[in-house]
Amino acid sequence: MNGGAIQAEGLTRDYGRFRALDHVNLTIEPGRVVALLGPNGAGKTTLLRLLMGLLEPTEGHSWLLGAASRALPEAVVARIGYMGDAEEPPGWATIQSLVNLQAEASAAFDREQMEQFLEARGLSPGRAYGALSKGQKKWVRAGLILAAGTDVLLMDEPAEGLDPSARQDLYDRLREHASQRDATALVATHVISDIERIADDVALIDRGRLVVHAALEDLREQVRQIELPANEPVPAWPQDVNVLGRKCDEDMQLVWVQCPRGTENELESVLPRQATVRGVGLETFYLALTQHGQPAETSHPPTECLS
Amino acid sequence: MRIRISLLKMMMRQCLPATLIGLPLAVLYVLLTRQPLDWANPWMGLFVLGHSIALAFGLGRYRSPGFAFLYTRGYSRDELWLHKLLVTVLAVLTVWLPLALLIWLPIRSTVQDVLFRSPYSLILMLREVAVPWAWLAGYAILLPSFHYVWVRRAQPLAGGDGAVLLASGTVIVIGTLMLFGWLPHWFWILTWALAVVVSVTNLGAGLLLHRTIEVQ
Repeated sequence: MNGGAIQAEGLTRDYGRFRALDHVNLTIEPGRVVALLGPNGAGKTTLLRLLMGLLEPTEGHSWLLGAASRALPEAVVARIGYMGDAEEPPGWATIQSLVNLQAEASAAFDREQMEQFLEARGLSPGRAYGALSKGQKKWVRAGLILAAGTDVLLMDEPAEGLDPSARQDLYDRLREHASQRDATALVATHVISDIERIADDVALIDRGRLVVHAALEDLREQVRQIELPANEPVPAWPQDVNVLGRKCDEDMQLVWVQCPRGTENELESVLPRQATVRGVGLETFYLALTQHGQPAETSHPPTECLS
Repeated sequence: MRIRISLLKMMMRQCLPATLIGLPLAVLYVLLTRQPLDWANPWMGLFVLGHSIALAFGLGRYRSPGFAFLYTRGYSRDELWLHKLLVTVLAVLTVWLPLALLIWLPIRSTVQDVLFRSPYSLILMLREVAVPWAWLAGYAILLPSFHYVWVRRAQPLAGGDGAVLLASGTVIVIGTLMLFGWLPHWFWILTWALAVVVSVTNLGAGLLLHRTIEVQ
């Protein structure tokens, strides 16, 4: 491994015969906030659980802060904040008992910050966790890992159930935490508008496979949609052009590519005359790919259409 | 390793149902049973067995949301395992110590005398003084086995049938010894030595395998 704060190599997980995660390679440098984007069932939660070491990978390995996820030493595990989708404290636990629990585990836990976090939503420490609304529960759990002074944050849909103002507030605090501590965060979501608020980078996962991992700015500028006639063979793509996915129907094929700066002319040169190229936003690309498209097999997929 | 009080409290709460149900039942049985108790009393044997299973279950629900939350707070796996053992000891003492005190103080003798005019009441305490240690020994042998079963069942490739067999075998051996009663001195020494080896092995294997359990 090369020292990324979060790293995965060939990470794969099967549930029986179902492959939930398929050979994911991912390196996230320290200080980056990465939005993990994908539809329901894409493998986001499985990836986060594998990274946290809660599950054994069927194949591959992962590391957090340089330590193997499945054998995190005491000094490392206390620097990781994990907020899963299904992991919940028991309903009888009071907020105060959860704060105490977290404070014992994390030497850097800031009780004052946690108090402010709770006050921001009018939550008193004596309330039972089970009596909170869904959004309040998320708020408390997010507060626990942010106040713990963690260096790596793994969060699964942290803002789900929060009202718009709480949602914005949470993401502001997350950004602030990341910039103040140079913390690394991987935040799973399927809400594209969230990404604008938090992300430096975007990792798009679909059907268990990492389709793209790139800087948000680059994706905004570099994703192109290419329309080709259905009977037109797919061209040999230039080396630097990354094919993200394809969709085929009777009349037309759509191919989405990530075209780095300076390779536009190279791309134009390999396309047939009938092809049309246009830039698309992240949302358009994401919806098209996850609703209809086929994720690319490799960066240079076979010429036959898959669907 | 430091003792984490909040973690202990959170884990102790998992044992509360077993304690709340078990303690009054056992107290009533110990106070109201007219015949002198001995180490092979089948009802107390069944109680220790049931209580041990309930504790191992309460502290071994690795696939529950509550445990997943606990296992993602920043505690190391070894820290969690050692606290789990500590909670086990505390939960056993919470039930065992009152029962032992009933016999040793001797509250049981007094109750037998006052309520039932029992002819045994004068000798009960002397005769039963060692019995609580047999119950404690039962916990010490059974609980490591049962904890190991739950740890094996949470391994990535599941399985754990061997652990279930081992635990079942332990229960059968104890039950058989209780049925057959007094056996030669050398046999007991051998049995105890074997029990210590099995318990220590279960605890050690539990510590190692607990590092690789799947929590979700």
